[in-house]
Amino acid sequence: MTAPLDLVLGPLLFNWSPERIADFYGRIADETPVDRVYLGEVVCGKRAPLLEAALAAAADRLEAGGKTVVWSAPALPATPRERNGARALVAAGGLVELNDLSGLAHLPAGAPFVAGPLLNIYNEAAARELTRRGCVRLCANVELSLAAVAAIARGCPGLEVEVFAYGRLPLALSGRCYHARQHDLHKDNCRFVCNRDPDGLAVRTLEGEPFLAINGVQTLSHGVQLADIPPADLKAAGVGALRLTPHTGDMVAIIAAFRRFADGALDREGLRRAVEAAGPPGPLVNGYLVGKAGLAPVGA
Amino acid sequence: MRAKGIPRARPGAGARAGDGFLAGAMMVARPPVELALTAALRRAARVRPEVFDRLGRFRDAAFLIAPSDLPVAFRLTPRAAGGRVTVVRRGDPEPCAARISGPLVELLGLFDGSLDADAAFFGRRIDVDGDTGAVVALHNALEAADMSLAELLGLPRFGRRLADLGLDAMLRAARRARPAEG
Amino acid sequence: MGSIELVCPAGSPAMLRAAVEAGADSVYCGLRDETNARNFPGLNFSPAELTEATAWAHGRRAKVLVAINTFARAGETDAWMASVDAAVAAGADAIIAADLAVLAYAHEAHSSLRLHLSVQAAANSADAIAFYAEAYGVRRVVLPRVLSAPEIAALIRETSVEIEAFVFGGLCVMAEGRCALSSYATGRSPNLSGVCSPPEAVTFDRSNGQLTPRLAGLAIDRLGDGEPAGYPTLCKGRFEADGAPGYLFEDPVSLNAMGLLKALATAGVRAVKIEGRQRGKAYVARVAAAFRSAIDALDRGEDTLPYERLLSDLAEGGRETAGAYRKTWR
Repeated sequence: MTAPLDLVLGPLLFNWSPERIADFYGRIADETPVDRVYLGEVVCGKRAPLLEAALAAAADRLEAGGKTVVWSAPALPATPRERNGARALVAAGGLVELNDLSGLAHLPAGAPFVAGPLLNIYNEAAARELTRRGCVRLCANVELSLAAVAAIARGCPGLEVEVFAYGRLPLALSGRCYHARQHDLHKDNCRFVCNRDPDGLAVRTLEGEPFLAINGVQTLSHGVQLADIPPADLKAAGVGALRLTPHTGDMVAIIAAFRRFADGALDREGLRRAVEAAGPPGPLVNGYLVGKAGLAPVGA
Repeated sequence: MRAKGIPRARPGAGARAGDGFLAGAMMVARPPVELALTAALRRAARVRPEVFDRLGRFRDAAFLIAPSDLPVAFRLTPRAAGGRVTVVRRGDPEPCAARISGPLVELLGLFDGSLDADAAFFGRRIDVDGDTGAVVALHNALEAADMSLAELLGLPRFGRRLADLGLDAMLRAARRARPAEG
Repeated sequence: MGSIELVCPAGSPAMLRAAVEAGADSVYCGLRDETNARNFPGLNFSPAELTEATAWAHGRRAKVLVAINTFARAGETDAWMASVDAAVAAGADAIIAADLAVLAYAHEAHSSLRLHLSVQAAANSADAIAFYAEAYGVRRVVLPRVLSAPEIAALIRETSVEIEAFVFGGLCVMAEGRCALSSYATGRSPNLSGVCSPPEAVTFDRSNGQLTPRLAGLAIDRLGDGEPAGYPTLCKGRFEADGAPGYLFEDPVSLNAMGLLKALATAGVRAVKIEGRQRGKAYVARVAAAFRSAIDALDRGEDTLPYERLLSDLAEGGRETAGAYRKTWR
């Protein structure tokens, strides 16, 4: 119970330029106390070839900076290219994060893997199905409350558990690209218009209330998850690590604030203030973790 | 969470010349109608308790069934053995869980299972206010019971008489010919 | 090529009878609780009703498939396992499941029970199907509605597991089982509680001749007088991005792939499925009869064209689409 909470950086969900990726991970490597970094194009198989070189270079930078790198597999591989990419990633060896169960068809029996938050693992029995196939770590699905996470952790001793602690919530995946649709383009000829929105494209209700964000085939929340749950409660629930998602804004400051929060050097109010000052792309929410609608604001 | 219950009818909603007189006449005639409908509802509760089981937590909810072409509405509280049906004015201020309104022919079709409820809603031929869950439960319970609202309220003879007169077919034809309306 | 199996929805015993009498080969239904993905008030079967309805269906040579296709709640998985036992006790021909916990239990506790993989598992590739078949002996997979007809044909060439595809009814725009939009707004979702856009969170505001459907208070559309409405789900809502209001995710349309029946049958699709357990007897009787006629015509080597316009008025928003089956949808 006394081990400190790890801080991990989840995969970049957005279509950033190679330069931006290099700058971002350079700073993560040199200036942050992050323990693990997940890399890989999870959302869109069309983007993967564009980002491959930048992500490989980022991996080298991060490892040189003492970070552990885990490669994340795609969330909804469908085309032959996407499936081949996923298969190659799993076959390459080393720890991978699976975001679709199809990856288990390629994983050598018993090889360790991380179960990503986009998998539908909602209970301890399902989690046990994964652990007996080699799953060593699970990032809880974002819909789960902390109580549900605790039940899973209790039912799977030895499984490391992460919760989604910072970032727009990944809510849905589709076969259809909404960026392309918004720009009257076909998905097959999308011109990568998603690169215009480094945190996703804001979606408002007809009454002007910001609500969601679209990111290619993915739909995210407008609200930004902030797991401002006291570290003692997180540890009591069996949580071992907090997962932060890359966004624009001062991620170095956000990570520093989370580190101090996890170490008891910053209270909830301090964490909120520090994160708000670092420029999150939307208001801070934590409803899912407390068993409410996901958009419920922190402190409500 | 939004407050449950329905605000009172908007001023002038559905009002037509002559409504006042007709409503007055219908309100005067209501006690025997209410007695008969309430007795039928309670009889149904004894004979078909499963309909009321399906309503679950909406057994005690009040439903306002408001034909847009009548100046009165029917207020239905299933509540099994203690159920009640009352006739009220269209703008009745008593709160209710949900109000279902639309032309009488649509409402009859909706509740006798001959009309697809979703299609009627998509086509904007019926309106639902208040707790949509209550309306969904009432519709599903009647659907599942193979029971029409007319039967629930002990009106099968009324329906048969319509059929005898060929009016049933006319109603259906009228329904088909009706364009989508608000 | 044998006749394609027509799988129809049943939200109640009465609807099950209506579906079979109209020509369904199989019906799918759920128990009246959170273990199935149409957990609407007043809908579904008690265990006793399921037993009786299954016996009735078997007397008519129709199969009963029981959907236990939500994800078991952490710490309370027993209810899901009890539903599996209830389906077996009722004599169900198969269960339709998505959760690894439910699949594992059914496979271990009832080794002869036929398992179908629910669309909620969103198994969209031969790799995913191979995993479920190998790990749990899954015999049939219901495909998520994200694949085009040629992609389905390619997928079937790579697998020996039976494939079932949706051909009519409500259209999920997102990959099924991979969508949390509903719970983000309301706290309840298909995966968490078996409902999307739970009715208790839906309200309709009327003012100035306009109808504003709301979900948990959020305006999700605005309709002029008489303008057709859709289900009040977020993916069919009208929103604004880049200053332009519109149906960002999908128009309020529903799926009708009758025109693709022949292509699907040729691709090797074993069964076609109608959505809509919540829609009642009148709906299922009409849809089942129309698809029965179309499939029979196909079996006689005739065209399905005469039957394709029969169902347009049932559609959400009064409009239909062939959805992802035509690749331009993306």
